[in-house]
Amino acid sequence: MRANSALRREKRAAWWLLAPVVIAFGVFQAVPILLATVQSFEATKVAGGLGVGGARTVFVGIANYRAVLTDGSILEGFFRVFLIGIIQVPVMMIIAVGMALLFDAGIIWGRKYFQTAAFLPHSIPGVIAALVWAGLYLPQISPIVKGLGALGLPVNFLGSGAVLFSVMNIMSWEWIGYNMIILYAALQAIPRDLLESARVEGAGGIRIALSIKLPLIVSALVICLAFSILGALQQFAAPVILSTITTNVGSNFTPNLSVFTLATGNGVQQQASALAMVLAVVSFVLSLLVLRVRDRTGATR
Amino acid sequence: MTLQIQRRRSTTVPPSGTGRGDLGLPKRRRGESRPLPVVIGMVIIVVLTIYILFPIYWTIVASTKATNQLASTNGAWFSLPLHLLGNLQSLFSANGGIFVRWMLNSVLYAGVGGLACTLISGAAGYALARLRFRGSGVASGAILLGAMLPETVMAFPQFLVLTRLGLVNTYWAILLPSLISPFAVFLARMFAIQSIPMELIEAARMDRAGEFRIATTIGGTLMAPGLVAILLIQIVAIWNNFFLPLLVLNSANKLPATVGLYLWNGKITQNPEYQTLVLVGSLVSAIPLMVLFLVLQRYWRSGLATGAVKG
Repeated sequence: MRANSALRREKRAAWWLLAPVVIAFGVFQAVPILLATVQSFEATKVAGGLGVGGARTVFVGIANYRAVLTDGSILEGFFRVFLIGIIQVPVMMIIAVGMALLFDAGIIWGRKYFQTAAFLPHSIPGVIAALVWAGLYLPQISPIVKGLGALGLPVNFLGSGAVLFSVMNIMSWEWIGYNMIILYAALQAIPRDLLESARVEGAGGIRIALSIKLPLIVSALVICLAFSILGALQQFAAPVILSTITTNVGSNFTPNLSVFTLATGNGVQQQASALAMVLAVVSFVLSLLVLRVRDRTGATR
Repeated sequence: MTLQIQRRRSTTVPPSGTGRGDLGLPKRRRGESRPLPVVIGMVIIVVLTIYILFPIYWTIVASTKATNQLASTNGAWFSLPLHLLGNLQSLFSANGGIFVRWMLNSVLYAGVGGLACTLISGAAGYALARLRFRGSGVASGAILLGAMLPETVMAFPQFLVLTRLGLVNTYWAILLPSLISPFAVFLARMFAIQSIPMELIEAARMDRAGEFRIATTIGGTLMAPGLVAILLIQIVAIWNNFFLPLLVLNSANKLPATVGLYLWNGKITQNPEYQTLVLVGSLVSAIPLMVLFLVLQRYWRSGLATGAVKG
């Protein structure tokens, strides 16, 4: 009897503690997704001529999805994200892994200070980082552009071919340190006697790093990789900021930018919903894949 | 694995960098006997550090220059006399002092939103981790699913709801959605599992302490370092917020600093004065977060390590 009422009290307390999150989750996560889903299958039709009949909402099936996924410039945005995924993500990860391995090898003096410096960009808002880099890309004021020019290397970071790489650079700058810290923590968790015995066997530092340390941090690598790819898929702030200083960043530069463009355009809100849902599903599937891979590798819990 | 070591380090050893000590000896000796790897390693790290710090350094340099000096002087070095004070003055007085308003808005959005989110996430995390009730598994699963959806993907769907609630272009349009972060709840649950022993709760129940009392005193105290980490992550996330405010706010006096500076950046081609304002403004709006970061780095790192095992 007593135990029963105690359990009931525990249950009641649990729901009271959960209530704010449940309500907020419902209103600002579940309902939005529901609304966007419903809207993505609808279109606004102006009834009657001359707009006198007012607008009315009709069900259009997958028409909105077909519209956004056959739109050439939106697909180009997806292709840019794909390029980011196969160029920026690997480059950044290699640098981050390299830094983490160097720090873990114990050969860096002042490790703490260098790590703090590397992690610092992560504390700077992405928009601010993009604004600062935008300044460093502007030929009129950038010491980098001027310096390279003086060395006989004229560069145009905002050129139509280069600007995607300029976006990638901003992303790398923000996230190298973050990934490095996660990978470093994973490296630190490797049992030291394992490394010691490899050393006794005569394995060199590089050999140990590549064939012992790296395989042991695979799950941390997978997670960093997945976060980076998800980040690439969501690219929004940097292209928007760069679009204020160059015409080479269009309103469909990335899929998320296309969502914004459709959302603020006239009468195509439903297409924005459809594209947002596509992005949500892709992100979701990617996350699930990561979970699967991580459980498969099983190194980290 | 990552997580445990990080927790151990962050709770017992403040980030003094001594984690290396146990194995440092044999390795360091090795490094000293072979200077080449040390030199190569140091060169790589120093070059990368220059790459990472240069934009911050340049922003500081640029903030001390008058607008006409930005283009005409060596951008990588200071030029005298310094115009920092003059620039700050123009920053705070431009367009009727709107930048001050933007900063206050950012502080309000990030501070109030972050604090509220941390509190409700902490409560939920505690309940999910340490209280038995039917639906606990379902709720945890829903939170995990929610955490898989990136924030910017949610911005437009949230805009749809805010429109229907009639909250567009109000402070609530930013504050209310920032209350919920499935990721924060997820982290809070992890922190609760790690830091609150079940036996402690049972013992408190034996002493006839009420559930809420246990949650606030034992849960609150033991989860405190984790809650600080969540608060930091939320403050940065909200400060970083860009897509949502761009969609739901249209009057200039409600904007956060990020969106305000973006609008100014759009004017630099017409009026170069805005270039200085944007750079000084960037510096001023990044400073609070950098200070928070440097002072509370170890909480930040522990939150990050916990987040990394999320997947």
